[in-house]
Amino acid sequence: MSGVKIKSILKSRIFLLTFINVFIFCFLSVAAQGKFLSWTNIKAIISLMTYDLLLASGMTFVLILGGIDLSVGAQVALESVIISLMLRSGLPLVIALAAALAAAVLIGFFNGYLVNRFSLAPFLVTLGSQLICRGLATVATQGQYVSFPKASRAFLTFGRYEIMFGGKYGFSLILLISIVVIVVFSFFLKYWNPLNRAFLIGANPRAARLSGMNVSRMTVMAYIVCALFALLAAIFMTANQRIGYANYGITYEMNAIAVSVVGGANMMGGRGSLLGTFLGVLMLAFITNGFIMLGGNPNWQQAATGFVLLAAIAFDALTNRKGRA
Amino acid sequence: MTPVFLEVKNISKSFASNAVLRDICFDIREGEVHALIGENGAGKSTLIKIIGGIYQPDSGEINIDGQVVHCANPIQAMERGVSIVHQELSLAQNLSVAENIFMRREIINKIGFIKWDVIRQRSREIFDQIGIEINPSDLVGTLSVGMQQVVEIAKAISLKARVILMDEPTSSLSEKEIDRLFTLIRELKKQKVSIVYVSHKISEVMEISDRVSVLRDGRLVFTKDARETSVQDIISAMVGREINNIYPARSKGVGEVVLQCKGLTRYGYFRDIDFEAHSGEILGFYGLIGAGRSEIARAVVGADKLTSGEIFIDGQKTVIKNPEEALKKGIAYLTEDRKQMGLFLDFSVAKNITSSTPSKFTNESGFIKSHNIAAVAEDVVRALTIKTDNLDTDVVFLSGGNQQKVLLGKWILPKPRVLIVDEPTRGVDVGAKALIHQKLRGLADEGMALVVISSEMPEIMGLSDRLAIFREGRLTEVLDNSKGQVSQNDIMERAVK
Repeated sequence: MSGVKIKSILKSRIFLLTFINVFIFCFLSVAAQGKFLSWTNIKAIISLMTYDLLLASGMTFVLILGGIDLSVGAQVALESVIISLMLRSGLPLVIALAAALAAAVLIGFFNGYLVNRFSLAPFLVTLGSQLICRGLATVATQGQYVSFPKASRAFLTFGRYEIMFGGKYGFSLILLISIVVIVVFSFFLKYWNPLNRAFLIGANPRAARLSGMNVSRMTVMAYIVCALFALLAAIFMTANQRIGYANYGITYEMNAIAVSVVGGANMMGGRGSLLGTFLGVLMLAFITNGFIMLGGNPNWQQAATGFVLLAAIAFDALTNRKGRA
Repeated sequence: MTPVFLEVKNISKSFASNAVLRDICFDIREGEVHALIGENGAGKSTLIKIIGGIYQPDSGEINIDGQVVHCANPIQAMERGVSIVHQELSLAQNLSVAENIFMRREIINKIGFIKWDVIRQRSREIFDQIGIEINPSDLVGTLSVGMQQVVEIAKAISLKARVILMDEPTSSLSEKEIDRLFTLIRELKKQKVSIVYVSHKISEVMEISDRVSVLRDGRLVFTKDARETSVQDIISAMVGREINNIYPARSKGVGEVVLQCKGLTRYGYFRDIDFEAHSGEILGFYGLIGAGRSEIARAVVGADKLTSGEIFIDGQKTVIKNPEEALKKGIAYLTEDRKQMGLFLDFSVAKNITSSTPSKFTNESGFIKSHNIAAVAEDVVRALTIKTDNLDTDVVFLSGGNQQKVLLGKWILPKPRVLIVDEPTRGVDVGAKALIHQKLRGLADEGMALVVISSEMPEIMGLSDRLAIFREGRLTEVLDNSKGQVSQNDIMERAVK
């Protein structure tokens, strides 16, 4: 009896997501009468995707390992606050970035260590670190925006720099970098064994340990990697918005989880796809934009994300049942 | 002669194609202690569960007081006076003694509120009746295992049980607690409550029982008065089977000591274990459930922590902190629970086979060469004749025998110097079984030191060059079986006495 494999379910899901994206794209191109297809609009869609994409990619990795990280949104806030406060007091950019990096690694290690060493529920550990990060950021800024007018011009330009294609079409640099980072990461995730092991470890940590894999190290690594993705998002957001703010990233972690699950990850570990996550982020961006283009209320994005998430889980449940006779 | 309270007539039960009970005829007299003895897999637990309403028999019937009864679930059995005290106690740890005893039968007033004081009073009365002091308000979780067992018995009494079926009641009790249990049993006898005592501890059984029934391979061998039988009789009855399976020949030549363990102790699981594994030899580990063999193996490979003890590889003392280190030092462990801890069920045959040996399919920088995975897996599949549609099939779709072969192949790949296999043919069909046995002997012939843990006597006798017998966390004796000279009796005596 041939088996329906996880791989083929995932492939069919990616196919489905691609199809849905193409469908929405075509639909909106026609329905929104040229407003949709303008480069300004497309650019707006994909630029907003940048931060969701980064956070979701890190989240996908943690989910593959059977964990979860509720602190990513708060990490973005805290790191943007660190960078902006340091830049405001005149410290060089390198120092500010180094401090943010240190914070990210520290938080990631903290999350991973507690989860691994004491077998604590990742949900609860990262909920705790979320509140701590958010709290620290708020205390440091009293909830105010932090601008840094004295900071290096390079940083500020970087945040809004666009690479011009064909003279007319500007493509945000930070989005480009994000996509490159994610593509490289997904390459390593697929072809580099120390990372690829994550799928086995997440699916069955006990068997993985008995098979000689270092589950502890991988667990801590995953949360650090997730934190580094959040760090990138923080740096880019701060450079682009030109302010640090303790309320950045609120509910971003929820979106990241939802999109990762839509893309093929699940809470039990052992599954996930960065490509699927990307398509999921894209799909939701199209949907939001679609509402705007068609004169609807853009606030529908939240509900739309919810519906899509439920559809994804239902899809999972149905295909799994078919697969196991 | 005391009247028969419950009679089991021609009960048979199979799980899938596995016949667990065959045509069992068994009866329980009022006020007797009737022991049910047999090795692992003889069918004792299944019989108890059928009488207690947890399983339904495939054929046969049960009579109570001469009337045929059908207990579709444990509640119906309890209503007819049949209660089970399980080996793994089934009490709610964070509720009180009284709440546990009266679970589901709470005494309520007219508006539906529970009358806790009445419940507590009734509980106290039951404890008085059996002559034991327990505070009904104590949380069950704070009581010792022995006391918890008493609570379970009290629960059965409150249900007006006429027979209490106890499954391995003394497996977690101290000497004192066993004494107390026996006193309680004698008290229950006086009150005309029958006890069916399932155990493999023969001397205990002889102490407390009126009659003894022996099960072997699902059949009842005999039911005798305890005074008219001996420990030796019972042991012979437990094992007296013909060994028909053909096993591969013995060791071609035993080499050096590869692995030496001294004084291995893990508090609560095993104590003072000394053994040696030689290259070219199969060392068998036999023992009944709870003997601690798997725990020893896990501790050797660093999956669990040792309280004390030393491990030597090639004469050099080593410390093994985790399975990764064990593998690097050449010790591999094939777990007994292949579905939960051995295989990655949702992953392909190829991925499972190569999961312990990344070096075989990655280059120096760690990048995966997928054609290597295929090639390596292909070799293993061929060598062990694993039946699978292709290498990418998820392992969960393979039959038990083929799954076991995948695991075996996985652990042979790193070419360990010591391979510990735990229940290598559990749930495996006859054909695959024979192949696995041949393969294990073949590995020994190539110089590997093999430790085979098994609860299946024919298997352990057929494979082992030397046989280590374990009992309750201790190593009783290591017997020489190089000429097949060990008998079933020899083994069972050391496993149970």
